[in-house]
Amino acid sequence: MKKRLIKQAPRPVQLIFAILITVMLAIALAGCGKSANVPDTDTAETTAAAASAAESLDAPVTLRFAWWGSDARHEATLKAIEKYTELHPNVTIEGEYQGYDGYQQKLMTQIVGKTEPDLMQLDYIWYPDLAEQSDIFVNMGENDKIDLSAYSKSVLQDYCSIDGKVISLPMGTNGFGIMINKAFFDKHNIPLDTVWTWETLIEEGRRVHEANPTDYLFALESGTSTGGIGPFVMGAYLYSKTGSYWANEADNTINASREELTEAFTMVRDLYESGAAQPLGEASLFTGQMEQNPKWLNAEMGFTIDWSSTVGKYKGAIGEENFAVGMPPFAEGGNNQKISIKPSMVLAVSSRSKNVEVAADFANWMMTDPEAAKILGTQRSVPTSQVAFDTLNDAGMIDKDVAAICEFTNANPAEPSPLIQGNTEISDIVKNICEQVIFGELTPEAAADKFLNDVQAKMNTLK
Amino acid sequence: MKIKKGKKSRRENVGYLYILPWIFGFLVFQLYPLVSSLYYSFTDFSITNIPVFIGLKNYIDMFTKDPLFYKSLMNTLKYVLMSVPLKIITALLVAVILNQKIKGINFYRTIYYIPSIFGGSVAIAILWRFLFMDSGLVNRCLAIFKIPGVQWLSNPKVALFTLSLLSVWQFGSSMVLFLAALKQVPEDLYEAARIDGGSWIRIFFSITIPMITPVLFFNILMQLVNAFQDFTGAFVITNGGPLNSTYLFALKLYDEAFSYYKMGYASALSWVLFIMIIAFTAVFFKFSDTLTYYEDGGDY
Repeated sequence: MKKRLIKQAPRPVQLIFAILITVMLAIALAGCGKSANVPDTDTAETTAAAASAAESLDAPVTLRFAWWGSDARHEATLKAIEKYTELHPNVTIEGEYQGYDGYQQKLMTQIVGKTEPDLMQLDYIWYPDLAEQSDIFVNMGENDKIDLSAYSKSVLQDYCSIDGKVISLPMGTNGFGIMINKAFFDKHNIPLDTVWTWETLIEEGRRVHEANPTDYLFALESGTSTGGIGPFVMGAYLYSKTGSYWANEADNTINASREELTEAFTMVRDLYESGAAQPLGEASLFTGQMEQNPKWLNAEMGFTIDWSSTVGKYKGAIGEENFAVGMPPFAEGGNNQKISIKPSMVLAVSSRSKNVEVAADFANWMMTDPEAAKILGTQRSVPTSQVAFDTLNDAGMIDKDVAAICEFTNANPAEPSPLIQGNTEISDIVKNICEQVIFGELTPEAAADKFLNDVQAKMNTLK
Repeated sequence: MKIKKGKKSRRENVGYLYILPWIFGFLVFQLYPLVSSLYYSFTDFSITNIPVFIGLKNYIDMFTKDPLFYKSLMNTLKYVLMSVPLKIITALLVAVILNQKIKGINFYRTIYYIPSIFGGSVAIAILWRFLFMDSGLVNRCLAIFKIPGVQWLSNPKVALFTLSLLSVWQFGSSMVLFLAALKQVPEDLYEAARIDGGSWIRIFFSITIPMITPVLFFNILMQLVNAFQDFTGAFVITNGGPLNSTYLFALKLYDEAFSYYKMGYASALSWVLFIMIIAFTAVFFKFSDTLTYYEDGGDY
């Protein structure tokens, strides 16, 4: 006789449990759905248009478009996407957007895994890492949907090509400057049009901080790959003082001498020791999001340094009436006052996309259509395409602060920096040495020696 | 009695069918990556090239040419030694306090368990940053009591401790296990001790602790294995800073793999981590043989 060893629940209860578990499983799996941020294109217009699209010749197409930015840029881009899908109802574009931090890593992994989006916003300094895979990008010069006449040949050549092939479209031209909190400057009686040198920054910052220990004239994070104390403070000082970049790409050596490096590190140390700069550990909590630093929001911080394409987020955080811009600091008695300039970002199309033609058409529209230009504004700094620039200029829609930064940058632009200076491993080594100087673990002389030693060693392995 | 062979083997087949999804998942998502990462650790694989076999070079470079390797190792060891004991002790103490038959005790148990459900997710990590930054909530509360603020996250000497607090905050799951274990301690032992006039401290260390050693052992082991691999807090809150004081081993692994594109080297690092964890747990198992007491004389 069979005897049930384990007491089982009666049949109906078992059934209820089975249903419950299935429902829970379904809910859990739904949560693992796609992570792309789908824009709000489910408006009445598009659904009605979609109905009439049944008669159009174009089959429904879905594109993925990845870009980085902050909320201001995301909103503008999503609006532009909405406009395009109004004009082409068969096209759906899914935006995959996030902040700059981690964007490169994610995109590289996608590229290697062959799951990259159809349209990708890139930073031109990533080209060395992508050089081996340059055929995954559509050759813009050979695609009939792309009109290259809108851009200057030198920009296309210098910043948008790999191995002579134009693989991306320049989206904007970045100038470099300081983002000023006007309320802070007023509070401490600092004239807005002060032309800063690192030395006057330190002196003024010392005065400000002594008067008010919670206030700092300057704040900057340790660094991400394209920013922070390595390039924006130490690198900028060396370039301004000596007249050339510290990396010599041609023969893979370091241009700066031990004395020059010691001087640079001494300046870095003084910047933080004097109280001119917000303590590094604290500022670094807002890497890539300095506009969220409470000191910025509460006018306890004077200025930070950044590219003109970021004006939107800084201004948005404190309000137009509290915001101003200025030229970046130079080295006193230095050899040049040239200002860094670069394309803010470039747009590439994946050649492995299933809809290359539609993607190229959208890319072209986004960069050269006057309507698109008006929607996108200067969220990616001043547009590089002449058509877009003229449209905005004529309509008076170029953000005055972005325009101001680009104006003084264009008056005295620097040559492109050697790409090896922007290499992630080297940037991290420079960042670590700067941090050690700031926290007092290394003297400026020892730091100079360590720099010459470690950076050269790394440059040797990279070549 | 005739043994119905047919029915038994059909039962077995159905059993295999039920575990087939798990077996498939194990093979594809755990065994295959494990074996291929072992292979990649002996290659130079820069994510855009095909892997090139280079033997033990990755392992040698790790120990001779990479100062941040030692730094991250030290940081991780410090982090483990700080967070695991603190977490276990907190969980145990709170479990003892909550092991009482008072009204509404289940409510309190739930409240203390909830943090471990949130886990060290990105949202919590961002919250942690806002709590512990120099002008954050914690320092403001201290200011009310006229206590000078601490640079929780910006001082290299303190930042790692603040991160381990995040781990300690999630003591809930360990606490629940301790609660269960405490309930298993026979009442008569306590009675006998009280009759013999034992103080509550004496009772705690001579009766309670020895009787819950199996669960204690399990908790310590699980927390140890997890602490070695902690990543989210260090990545989101401080990104290894300040001055690489919170540069944990998992973070180094991430940098090598995804920022520097050195997949071969990163695979080698992950195997070193694996071996380290195994070594720790092996030592711990040996250690525990003499120290744990199983009521039913179990030979686990």
